[in-house]
This record gives sequence, structure tokens and C-alpha cells, in this order.
Amino acid sequence: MNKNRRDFLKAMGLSSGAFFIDPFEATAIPAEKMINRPPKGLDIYKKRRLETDVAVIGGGMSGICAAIAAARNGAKVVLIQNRSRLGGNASSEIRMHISGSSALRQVWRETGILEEIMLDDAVLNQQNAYPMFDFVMYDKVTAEQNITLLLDTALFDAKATGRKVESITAFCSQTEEIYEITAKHFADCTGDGTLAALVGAEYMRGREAESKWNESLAFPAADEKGMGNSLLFMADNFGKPMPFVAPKWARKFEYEDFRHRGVSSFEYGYWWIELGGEYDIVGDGQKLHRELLAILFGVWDYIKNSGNHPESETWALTWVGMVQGKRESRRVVGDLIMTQRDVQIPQEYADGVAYGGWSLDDHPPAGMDDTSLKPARQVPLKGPYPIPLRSLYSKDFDNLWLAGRNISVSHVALSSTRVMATCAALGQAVGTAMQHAVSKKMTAREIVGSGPDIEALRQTLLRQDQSILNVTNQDKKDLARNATATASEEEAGHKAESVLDGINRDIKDGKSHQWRARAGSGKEPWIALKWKSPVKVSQVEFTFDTGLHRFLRISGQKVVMDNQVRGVQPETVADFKIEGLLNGKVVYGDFVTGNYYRKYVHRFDAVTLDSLRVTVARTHGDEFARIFEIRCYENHV
Amino acid sequence: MLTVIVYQVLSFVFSLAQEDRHVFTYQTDRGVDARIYMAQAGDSLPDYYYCDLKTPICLENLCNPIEIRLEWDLIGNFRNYREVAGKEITKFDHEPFEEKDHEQLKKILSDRESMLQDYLIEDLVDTTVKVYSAEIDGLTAATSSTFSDKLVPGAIYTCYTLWHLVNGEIADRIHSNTEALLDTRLKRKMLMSGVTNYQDYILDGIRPAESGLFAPDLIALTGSKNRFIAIKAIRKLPAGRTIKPDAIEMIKRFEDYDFPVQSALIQYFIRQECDADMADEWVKKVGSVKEAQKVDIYKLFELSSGCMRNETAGKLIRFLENKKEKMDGSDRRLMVLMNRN
Repeated sequence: MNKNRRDFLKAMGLSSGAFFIDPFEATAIPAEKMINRPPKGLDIYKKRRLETDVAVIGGGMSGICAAIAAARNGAKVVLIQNRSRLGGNASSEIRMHISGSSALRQVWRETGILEEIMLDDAVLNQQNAYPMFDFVMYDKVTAEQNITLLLDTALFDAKATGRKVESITAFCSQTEEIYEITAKHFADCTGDGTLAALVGAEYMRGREAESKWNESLAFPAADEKGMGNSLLFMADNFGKPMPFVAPKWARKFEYEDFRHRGVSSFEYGYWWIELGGEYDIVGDGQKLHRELLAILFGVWDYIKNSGNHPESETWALTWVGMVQGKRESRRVVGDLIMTQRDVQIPQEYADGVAYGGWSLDDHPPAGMDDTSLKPARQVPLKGPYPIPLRSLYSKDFDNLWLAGRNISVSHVALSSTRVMATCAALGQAVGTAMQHAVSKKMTAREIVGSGPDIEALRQTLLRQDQSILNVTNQDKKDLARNATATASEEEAGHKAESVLDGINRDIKDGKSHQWRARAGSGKEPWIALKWKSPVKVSQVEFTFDTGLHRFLRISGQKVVMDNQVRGVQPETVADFKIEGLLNGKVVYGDFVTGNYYRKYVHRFDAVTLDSLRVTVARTHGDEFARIFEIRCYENHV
Repeated sequence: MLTVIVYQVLSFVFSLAQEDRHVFTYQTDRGVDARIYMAQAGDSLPDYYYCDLKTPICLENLCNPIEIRLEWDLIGNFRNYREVAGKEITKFDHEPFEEKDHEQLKKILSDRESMLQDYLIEDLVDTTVKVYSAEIDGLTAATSSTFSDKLVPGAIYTCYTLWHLVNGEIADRIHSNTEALLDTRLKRKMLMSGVTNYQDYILDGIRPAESGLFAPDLIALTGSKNRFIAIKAIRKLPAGRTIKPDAIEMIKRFEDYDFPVQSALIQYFIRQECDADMADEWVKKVGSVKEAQKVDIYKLFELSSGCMRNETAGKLIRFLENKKEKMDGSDRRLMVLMNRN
């Protein structure tokens, strides 16, 4: 590739991640030819070929996290998204809040890349504006040099040979381009399992019979039904009468339609504006869209004009969703199909790479077509449950990975795994696993079959703050594991050694797992790691406390926002001094300010030291300095 | 004198009828025969079902067997339980149930959607913990509160065993048993019982052809405090002309109904044949109709204009005229329509 071409590609924003074989191959039409014979039909579209390590199809929460995880671990990634913005169901186009294990009301808010995004959003978007949340995600993705992001780009074809997916074809109508993307590994984060379907991978639809996997929540006979789609709206109080006239095609609702569907607040709603479980969610999408709009406006018409909610007089719609939020479509069959029991009773999966924690929350297929039924039944869970890697790739292919609602689960298990915080964790798991597969030239199944590889993958995930269960830090490269920890002071039960105990969060085992010392009011507690003999360190990693017992996610719903801290989380260490010492003499020093992340990685030129001291100068408001984990590495990763 | 004799005869009949009838026996998975009886009320109609039960509770017989009387309503919902004196329910550590434990257990047994139906007992208690904790028999401390809130601490086996007994096959068979006994008298009694579950169940089953038969009950139910029942009753009412005196009475009592019930009532009358007397009553109410009901009530007047008496129409026109500068387009339109006839 000559320099000019490279510059041109850069200008197109396509240079960094993918290697172009020849993007202009099919478009080099001499000017004189164009005058004589203008191209017609599909020739109008320019054909672009991209070759990459990892192609991620779908830019929802799963796809974003998959792409970032793969890219950060070193893979070249092409991420295609059929919308003009990232985030899928969470984006400003749909505005469903990101639910997950916070529903357990314990300590299980998801961590990792999702937590990073949520913290950025809480800090950078304190106005809680959905379009700004889109840009938090956009910024997160585009900050990765290894990712080539193609927006407005829809998958429409795929090629596979034997057990290998070779390439996909996608097009962007805005730029009149057709992309042929060849990759070593593909992640189907489409939600609908479109890629898997295109290459002929086996998938499931509808609801399985109770007898199939002995699921009490299933139905006696299998059917083609499922959970429906939703359209959401947002509204504001304008302090003066705001009349509303429903479109003629809006449905009519009566008082009794809301016997099981509360309209206690008007600012955002409602997840139960749901329909489609009895439709073909994909194939009937156009009709369904129209019907859902008719329901949405019908519900608002009822609120505004039935007289049953006079307090709505001053309220008016400010936003109406035009993209349906989907709950269920295809579920691709992996080497393991998770069922009800996997969700209810945490299994000790050696290949557990993420966790879920939402209740078993199935919705009747009829949705708003039958308001005599309750819109959902939630079966609570004892705690979070591991999700095995075997459910995150197609059993029929060596390089087709899955994250999101299209993973290998029964309908009943899906009723829990489908929520977006879980999907995001699946994305991080799959992205990390794909990079592992790329670098070790392995198939998905080979990784699962290889104890050392699955363990290495789990260790990488843990180190990168993935939401993962039953794994402690065994990283041989972590020099901190050979150190001892002391501190200027420690609160009872929160000893300095906690930062080296291999557990980077509260796991409800009755132990603390974090060093804690009183800070503020002139107090600057320190914690020190000491080695018996000097070590060479160039990277120190911290895990701080961001209040994982709270909810943290943007929502249009006031009650969801009420108990959140928008902005920096008070428990987090903000300013701190890092010092490397050798024989009692300071050989390295730096001062970090304004941190608000849970996972903070500090890199510097390698220094030989026998002691590392971290002095907490300021927290974001908490009276205690809190650190869950400190890791030290010789090399940058 | 005659009254006394009749009373005596009746009470004789009652005492016979009051003998509780054994309706079926269900063998529990512990091999215990549960004999289900149907209790009858003084009117000889079925009242509720019950069963006196002595059954082991725990898997390994670690705790005392339970002796209890379980009661179901006529459609198989949990009604109540009664402890046997000296055999009160205890927790694992043999501590007696406190009042709040009874309340919680009754709440759980009443919840037909309880999560207990979707868990195995060995999954609810942590069987790896051999010593049962007095705190929450075997549930680990890590159990989320969203989960443990649905149980009685220290009595998970009791909750589990009783829930499955109460809400399992027995409930379905009770329901079927009552269904086979349903006649007009029993339906009427259940409609007028004040029990929402009964009212919903019977109202849902009333076919259009039966609406006349149950008209008095439906009319009475329009006054139900439960708006959903009142509205459901309105939706089942027979044609207005067949219940004209009551229909007029309902219009007269318009202000007594809650707003959503009023709206349902107006919608009912919109669907009825034009009737001059009813129209007259409605015009008397035009001042009490709220703004949000205006569209519907004007539609009703418009539909009634064909049969409305001139003096009624005149009354309505005068009402509209009196609005003077407050008169809006819909008022003007109605006036034009009223003057047309």
C-alpha cells in the first residue's frame, strides 16, 4: 500500500484496525467509461474488502464489549453496526435501561468494560441525556486503535466452508459501499443470530416443552411463541395544560386494561408496552412496529384523555421510540444449552466466563393483546450464576462466537440471561476468548477442551475486571503475589493483605477483600507492598471500590435514577501517590489525580524496586480509603 | 307461630345439610392420605373446603411432623390454616411461630405464583450445611434478600411442603369439584360474596345469553367498591330496555360511582337503543359529567337525539346556552344537532 492510499484510508476512518487487500478493486472505473456507460444496479455500490482478526457483528452492549475486549488484548477488530449509533437496546434509539445482577440487591453490579462505560456515563453525562450516552459508548469504541467501526452497516450475506465462517458481506446505504469482511473469528452479536442463521448454524426458536429439559417454567407443549418487543417513550411535565390528540390508528384502552399494568409515573415507560410474542419477531417486524406504535399512542391517549389520570394534564411526550426493543429471537445452539437449573442453581463450570443475576423473568407472548394476564412473572434467584463458554459459540463452527440474547440457552434460561448487563459481560468474555483463539490459533471448542487455556482465559478475564465467579488471581506474572502488604493503618476486618488475597470485590462470603483505612481530614493513609528481593515493575494495577451494591445505569425512569450516584462514586480513591522504593530510597514517584474508575492501570518505564507504596490523598467523599486489589507486572500489557 | 314451625323445619334441614361432605382423597408424595371435605353454609350451598393433615415436613425427618387443618376457598385458593392445640407449628429449633411468621406463611400459601413451585427443596436449603442454622434453616448468609423475603426464616421445609400441598393437585381438584356444582344459586352467592376472586371467576363465565338471568346481581355489582368488578359487571349487563327501571336508577345514581365506573356506564348506554326516558335522565346529569367524559356523553346525546322528547332536548339546549362565553365547539355542535330534531 503506498502512502497516499494509506492517508486516504485514514481520512475515511478505516485505516487502523483492518488490513485492506485492495479496497478499490471493484471500483476503479475510468472516468471516460463512466461518461459512456454509467454503472447501474448494484454496480453503483463500491466494493471494499477488509481482512481482520475478529469481526464483531452488531454494536449493542454485547458487540461493544466484545470488540473492546478483543482489541485491548491485541486483536484487529472490525465492528459493524446496522444503526448510526452504538448501544442497541440501551442506545438513545430504544432507551431500555441496562439491567443485570444489581437486581439481586446485593453487591453484584457487573464490572469490567460495562462498569467502565457506566462510570464514564455517570461522570460525563450527569444531565442524563440519552444522546450523550450514545457518545460515551462511541468514544469508548473509537478510542481503541485496533477497532475499525463501521456504522450504518448491515450484514446481509455470509460465506462458510465446512466448520469455518470465511467472510461476511455487509452494506452501508449512506456511503453506497459493500464490505466483504474476512476474519479469523466472528462474533454474532446481532441479537437475532442473523450471522449464525446465514451460515446455517443450528438455532432454536419458540418455547421448548417442559419435558425437554425438565424445566418447571416451561410449558407442557413446545410452541413457536416467545417474549415480545417493546417501544418506549419519554415525557415531561410542562407545568401548563398540554393537550394530546392521538393518531386515528392508535388503539383504545380502558381502565381494566391497566389492572396489572401500573401507570404510576409518566416520565418514561413502559416495558409492558409489549407485543409480538405470537408474531414472527423478525419476519413480521414491520407489522409489529406499526402495532406497537398504535399501542404506545393508545396508552398515552388513555393516560391523557380517559380522565383516569387527571394529574397527567400538564405532561407531554418528548420522545417516542421508533426502534423496537427485542427480548427474544433466535438462540444459537452451542456445545452446552443452559436451562432453568443453570440459572437457579449456580453450577461450578470450569469454563464459567461471565455471570448473570437477573430473575427468571418470562413474559406472556400476547403482551398488550391480552391485558387480563400479568405482563411478567419473575422467579427470584438466590444469587448470581456462572455462564459457561460452551454456551457462547456455535457447535457447528470453529470460529463463530455468540454474545447477547442469541446465545445457547433455553427459552426459560433466556428469560434471565437476556438483560443487557449480562449481555455486556458475555461480550467481554467472547471478545477476550476470540483474541485468545487468534493468538493461539485455536478453535472455540479447543479452548474449552484445554484446561490450561480455559484457565488462562479466566485469569485474563479476572485481571481485566470481568464479571466472573469462582476464580481467584493465580496470575504467575503478577509480582504482587510474592509481596507482603502492610499499611499505615487498617480498619478492623479490612487488612492490608486483602489487596493480595486474589479476590477483587465483595463476594458475600462474609469477608472484606479490601484494605480500608480512615482518610480525609488531613489523614493520608498508605499501603505498601514489600518484596524480599528487588523486582522490576513497569505496570501497577488497582481495583478500587465504586459501590457495586448500588444501581448505576442511565434510565428515563425517575425511580431507577433515584438511588444512584450520578457523577463520581464516593467510595472511589480519587488522588493517590505511587512510590517505588529500593533499599528505602524512592526510585519512582507519580501522583494520580481525579481517578473515578474501578480498575485503574498505571504504566511507567520499568523500575527495579523492593517496595511499592501507595498513599491515598483523597477519596470522592468516603471517609475511608478503599482498595480491593493491587497487581504489579514487569511488562506493559 | 307459623314462622317458628318453618324455622324449625328449616333448621332441621340445615343440620343435615351442614354435615360436611367428603369430596375426595388425595395421596401426598409422603404417602399420607389427605381427605378433603367440603363445608356447607347455612343455605346448604358449598362454603369452603378443608383437610386435617398430619404429615412429615423435612426430608430426613429432622423436624417434627406437622398437624394442621388446611382450608381452601371454593375455587381452590388458600383460605386459612388452623393449628391443632398442642401441635403448633415450630421452626427448626422448635421455637414457636410468632404472629409475623404466621402472617408471612399465610401470605406465601396465598401466592399461587410463589417461586416455591419452581425450586426443588434441596435447592432451597443448602444441604452442604449439615447443621441447620436457627437463623434461616440452611440458607446461606449470601442468599439475596429478594429471595429470602419470599420464605419464613427457619421454616423453609414447612413453607415448601405446605405450599405444594395447598397449591398442587388438591387445588385443581377443588376447583373442578366446585365447577361441577355451579348452578345459578351458587353463582349468585359467589357473585354477591364480596370475594374478588369469586366475582372475577363467575363474571368471566357469564355468557351473553345468561346476562338477563344474572341482571339483578350484575346491577348490584355495578356498585362494587372494587372498580374492576364494577366495570366487569357493567360490561356484562343485558340490553338496557330489559332492565329499564334499574338502568334509569343507575343513571340517577351517576354521581355515586367512581370516575372510571362512570365512564364505563356512559359507554354502556352509548351501545343501547335510543330511549326517551333514559335520555331524559342523562340530560339531568349533564352538569355532573366531567370534562374528560364530555366526548362520550355528547356522543350519547347525539345517538339519543332521534328518540329524545322535545322538552328533554330543550333542557339540554338551555344547559348549553347557559354556558355562554364558556361554550366551545363541541357545545355548539351539540346545540345544532339538538335543534335539528
